[in-house]
Amino acid sequence: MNTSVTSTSSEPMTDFDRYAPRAAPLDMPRQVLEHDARPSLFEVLSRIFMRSA
Amino acid sequence: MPSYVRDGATRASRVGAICFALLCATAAAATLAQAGLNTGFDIWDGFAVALIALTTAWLAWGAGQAFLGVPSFDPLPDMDLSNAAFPPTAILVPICNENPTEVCARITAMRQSMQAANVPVDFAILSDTFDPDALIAERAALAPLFADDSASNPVFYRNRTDRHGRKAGNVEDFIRKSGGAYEYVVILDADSLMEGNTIRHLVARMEADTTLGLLQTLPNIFGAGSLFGRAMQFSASFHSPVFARGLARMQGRAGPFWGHNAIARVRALSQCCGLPELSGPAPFGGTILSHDYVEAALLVRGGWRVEMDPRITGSFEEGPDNLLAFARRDRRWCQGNLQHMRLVGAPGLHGWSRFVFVQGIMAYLVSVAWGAFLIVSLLAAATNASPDYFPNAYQLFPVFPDDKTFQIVALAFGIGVLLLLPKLAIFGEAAATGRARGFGGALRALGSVLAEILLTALIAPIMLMYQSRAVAEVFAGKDGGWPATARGEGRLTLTESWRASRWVSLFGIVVTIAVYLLVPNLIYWLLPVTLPMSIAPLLITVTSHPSNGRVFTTLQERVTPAVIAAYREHLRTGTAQQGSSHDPIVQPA
Repeated sequence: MNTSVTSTSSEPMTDFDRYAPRAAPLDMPRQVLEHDARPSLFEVLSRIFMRSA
Repeated sequence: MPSYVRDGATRASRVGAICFALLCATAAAATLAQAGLNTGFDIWDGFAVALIALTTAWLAWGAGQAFLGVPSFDPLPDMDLSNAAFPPTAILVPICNENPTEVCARITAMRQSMQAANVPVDFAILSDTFDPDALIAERAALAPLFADDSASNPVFYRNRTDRHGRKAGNVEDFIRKSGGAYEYVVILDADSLMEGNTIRHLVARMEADTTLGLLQTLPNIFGAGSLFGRAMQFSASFHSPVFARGLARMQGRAGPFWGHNAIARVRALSQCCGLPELSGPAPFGGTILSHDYVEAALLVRGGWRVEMDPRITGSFEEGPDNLLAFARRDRRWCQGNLQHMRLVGAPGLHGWSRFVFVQGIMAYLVSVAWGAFLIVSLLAAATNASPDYFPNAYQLFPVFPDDKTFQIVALAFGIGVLLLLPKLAIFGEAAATGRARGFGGALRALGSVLAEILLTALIAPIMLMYQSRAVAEVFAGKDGGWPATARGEGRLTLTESWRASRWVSLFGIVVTIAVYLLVPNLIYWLLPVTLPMSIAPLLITVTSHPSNGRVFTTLQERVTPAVIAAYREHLRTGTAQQGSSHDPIVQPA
């Protein structure tokens, strides 16, 4: 989080940290939107035969 | 739960709208096929029939939605909520390189409205501003908000340096770091305004229904000054409530989220709306641009209800003031919606959520389909063999080919009806219910409806070109990024319009000449499309000019809502204090 910046004239700005929303963390799991990549026909066949071998 | 959100009623509305769309598509396809058969059905006729079926289905779907929305709803229930029981709620204002004087004026006006309605909510300005000078101007302009330490409505502010996930990531960052302090968040856009009583109603509705994850309002557009902007503003005020009622009747538990002017349960957002980056590069991979549709779908997947209620008043937003700004925003929406092709098959989604994705995708592909239909129809006409009056070797009398004019006229008439009837039906509803009084009376409202139809007909071919280009760019792998929405950009010169639309103009002229040379008898049929294209720069310029005539009058123009009046007053004061307004950082299209 950026709480202070410097202007083009290198003049420091006020610290804005004190205006930040109060900390109250909450878990937010990443959602699954894509199926796992499907194995190719070659991969499927090789798995079957490797398992049988 | 409102009476219109019931399983049986929802199913009937959906089936009715889908059947109507299929019926119209079949009728259009059969009519065109018959016309093709009259003169020998070739491959171009086959393409034309498929394309007319698709485009007519889309038109009829929109018309069906309007017809579903004509009957009114029960009045909005009066729901009160005492301050003692008022749950912790934050109004989130995500901004990114916005005009800070306007942002400050909006928040000050809303804060006043909260105080007047005694609504104890916090404001959180979530800044993604990255331009150093803009950041300095932003902090200087917003400083008065922090000086006024109103206990009931404190204002918080933070700026992100890691702008991961753009607007959705900005809100997500707040939920992750501060969400635990709140029960609800009201998500706004930088140009949104909402009244205190509206916020109280939203919170009361969420409190009354613990299965409700998100409640979306229908924002009214305000503040337009140009002919284009006022036409859009009129359309949003006059037509949108009816279209939205139709949509609400079909939403069931899977209503829409439009990204702003909505309240959400923090617990539902945190459980369901942590958006991933899509695999692969933009435009189809990377950050999800049209995140709101996806968030609505994820909330429903997580067992929450998402609802849109068009009866809720006191919710406002601004819109683009000229066609170029509109097209620029549309480019982003196009990329976002086409990106949903990756998500239609996402695991566990509700069927209607998938259908909504398809609908959003079709909204842009249909433009390409209309363009393709015109081209295919021209090719079919240009490659038509000359009629053979004596197909048999020994024939006394000539055989004349059947005339297909009747079918073509019938098809054009049917499509015209699909375009016009919904708007005329909405006018009928407004006149019958007295809603038209807010638009200057039935006669003036009718004038505005007809003017809006004319203007829409003129700009539709230009938008068809912009949308077709947007679709082509996305499929070619070109990422349009996330340009800032131009608000109040206003008047354009002919040179600016020419630079941005000369390709449309040249295309229109070339097609007109080609049609004149190859199939001259079709030239008049195509003029409604080719003429607006040819004069696109002129149309874009003229419609960007200020308009304050009686046509396109809206209720908000006649009786300014308190929060809008306060915003304008604070903007005037703020602008005067700042000396001059800070221009939004927007690149020309």
